[in-house]
Amino acid sequence: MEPLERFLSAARMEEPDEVPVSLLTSARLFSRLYGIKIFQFFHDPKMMLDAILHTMKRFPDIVFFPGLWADYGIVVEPSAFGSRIYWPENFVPYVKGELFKNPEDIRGLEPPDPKTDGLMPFVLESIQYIQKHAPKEFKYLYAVARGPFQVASYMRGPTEFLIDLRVRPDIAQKLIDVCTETTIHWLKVQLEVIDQPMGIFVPDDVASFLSPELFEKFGLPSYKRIFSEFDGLLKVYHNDADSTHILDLLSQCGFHVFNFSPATDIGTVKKGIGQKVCLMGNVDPVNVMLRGTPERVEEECKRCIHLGAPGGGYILSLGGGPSMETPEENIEAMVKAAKKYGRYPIGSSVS
Amino acid sequence: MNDEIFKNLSLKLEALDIGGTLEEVKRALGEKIPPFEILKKGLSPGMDKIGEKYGRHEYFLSELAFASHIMKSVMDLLNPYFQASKEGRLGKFLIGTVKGDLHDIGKNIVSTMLTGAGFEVYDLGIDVPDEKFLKKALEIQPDFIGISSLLTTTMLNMKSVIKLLEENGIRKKLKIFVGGAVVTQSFADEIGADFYAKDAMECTQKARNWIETKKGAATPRR
Repeated sequence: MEPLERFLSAARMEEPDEVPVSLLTSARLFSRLYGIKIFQFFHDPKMMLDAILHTMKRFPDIVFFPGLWADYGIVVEPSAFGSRIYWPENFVPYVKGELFKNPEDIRGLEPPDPKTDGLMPFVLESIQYIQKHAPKEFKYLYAVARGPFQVASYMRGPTEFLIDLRVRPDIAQKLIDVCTETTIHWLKVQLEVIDQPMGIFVPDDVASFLSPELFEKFGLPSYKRIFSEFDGLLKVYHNDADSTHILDLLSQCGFHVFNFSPATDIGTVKKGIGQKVCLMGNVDPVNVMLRGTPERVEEECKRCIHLGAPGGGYILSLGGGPSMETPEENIEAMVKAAKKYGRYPIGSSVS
Repeated sequence: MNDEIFKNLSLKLEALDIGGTLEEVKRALGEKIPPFEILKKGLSPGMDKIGEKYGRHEYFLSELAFASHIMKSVMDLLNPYFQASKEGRLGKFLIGTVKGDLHDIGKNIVSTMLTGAGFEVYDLGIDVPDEKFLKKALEIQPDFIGISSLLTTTMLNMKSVIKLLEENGIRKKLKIFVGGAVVTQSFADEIGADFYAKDAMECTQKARNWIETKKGAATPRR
C-alpha cells in the first residue's frame, strides 16, 4: 500500500497492511527544514509550496495532514472578524488582544465574508496557487477551518469566554453561533476552489476547557451542526487539550478521525470513542518528539501502536503539531517504529 | 458565629455560588471580621476544595475560570478594607506570561488561587517584556515572581527574565516560579528557577510552604 492509501484505509476504520504515519502540516517545521524564516513562508505562495514539498519529499513515508495546506496558524478566522494580528519574524502569527472587551458588542456580530475579509482571500489565493503548481503525486487538499470555541476564545479572550458561558450564556451562545456559522461557511468557500477535496479539518482545542455539562449545552449542538454539513467527505477533528471528560460527547459529533492530546490516555480513547472513529495520535510532540531521543520515540510509538492499532482505525501521529525544532532523526524513528511494530495483524492488547 | 460564617463561605465558594459567596463576605465584613481572616479562614479553604475537585476531574478549566471571576468580585469587596491595613497578607507575588506568549487562562487561575490563599498578587498580564518584570520587581520588592509560558519557543524567554533580574542585583532577594504546559522541573532547574509548579494548586502550596518555612526560621525557637 502507498502511504496515502494506508492513511485513508485506517480513516475508514479498516486494517491497512501496516499502521500509517502522519504528522500535521506545520509552517514552523517546514520553514526550518527548508531553511527559511517563518515569515517568508507566508510571504509568497511559491515559497510556501516549495517548503511544503521539500519536507514531503524528505519524508515520503509520512502522510502530512491536511496535505497541501496554507498553514497561517490560528489567525485566519479572527483576522476576518477584525482581530489584530501580530507577525513575528520567525514564529507563526498570533492574535494580539481581544476584539470584544465589552461583551455587549457581541450582540450585533455578523459572520465575515471569506471572499473579502481579513486573511481569508489570501488563503484562498494560496490554495489555488498550490493546487495549480503542485506535482500530481502530492496534490491532496482539505478545507481547514478553526472550530468555534477556539475562534470565540481569541475574540473574547480565553478566560473571559469561559466566564461568559456561565455569567452571560445568551451572549456566549450568540458568539458560538456566529463562529459556528463562520466555520461552516469558510469550509464551504474553500471547497468551492479545491478541485478534488479529500475532506475537512476542524481543529478546536478550547472545547476541552469546558466541563461535560457546558460542552453538552454549547459544544455538542455546534459540532453536530458543523459535521452534518459535509457528508461524503472525510471529516477530521483535532483537539490537543485533555479531552478525557468529554470523550463520550465527542463520539456523537459526527467526525471520522480524532487527533488527540497526549494528556488523553490512548487506552481509554481506544475502548470508547475509538470503537466509532479512527484515532490519530498521540505521541507527545514536546516531551518525546522534541526533547526525547530516537530510542524514546521508538518506545512511545510502540506503546501507542499496541494500544491504538488492534482492530484497525489507527494512524500513528503526534498529539498536536510538531514543534519547530523537532529533530529529523526523531521523525525517522517514528517511521521506523511503524514499520517495526505496526505490521498487521496486530494482536489486541485491549480487553 | 465567625466559624459558621467561614464554613458557609467556604461551602458557597466551593459550590461556585457567586451570589451566596458575596453575601457571606458582606456578612463577615458586617461582623467586623478583618479581611485577611475572611481570606484565610473562609475563602482559602474554599479555593483548596475547588483545586481538589479539579484534581479529581470533578471541575474543569471552565469552573476554575468561573472561580477566578467569583474571587475577583470578592476582592472588589475586600480591597478597600485591605488598603487600610496590609497586615496579615502572606507576601507579594508578581506574575505574568512571558514575552511573545498570549496565553492567560493558567496564569489567571494561578493569580486567583494565590489571591484566595492570602497573597498580594500583582498581575502584569500577557506578552510581558523582561524589562517590565524588572521594573515592577524593583518597585514592589516581591517575595515571588511567577513566569508562565505555553509555547516551546517562548519558554526560552523565561531565562532572559531571570538573567535580567540577576544583572540588576534583585534575583537573590526573591524566589522564582515557572509554569505552563511545556515547562518541566528539569527545564526549571536548567534556567535557574527556584520552583516549578505543574498547576495553580501546586504553585499556591509551594509558595505558602516557603513563606511558612521562612517565618519559622525567623522566629526564635525555644
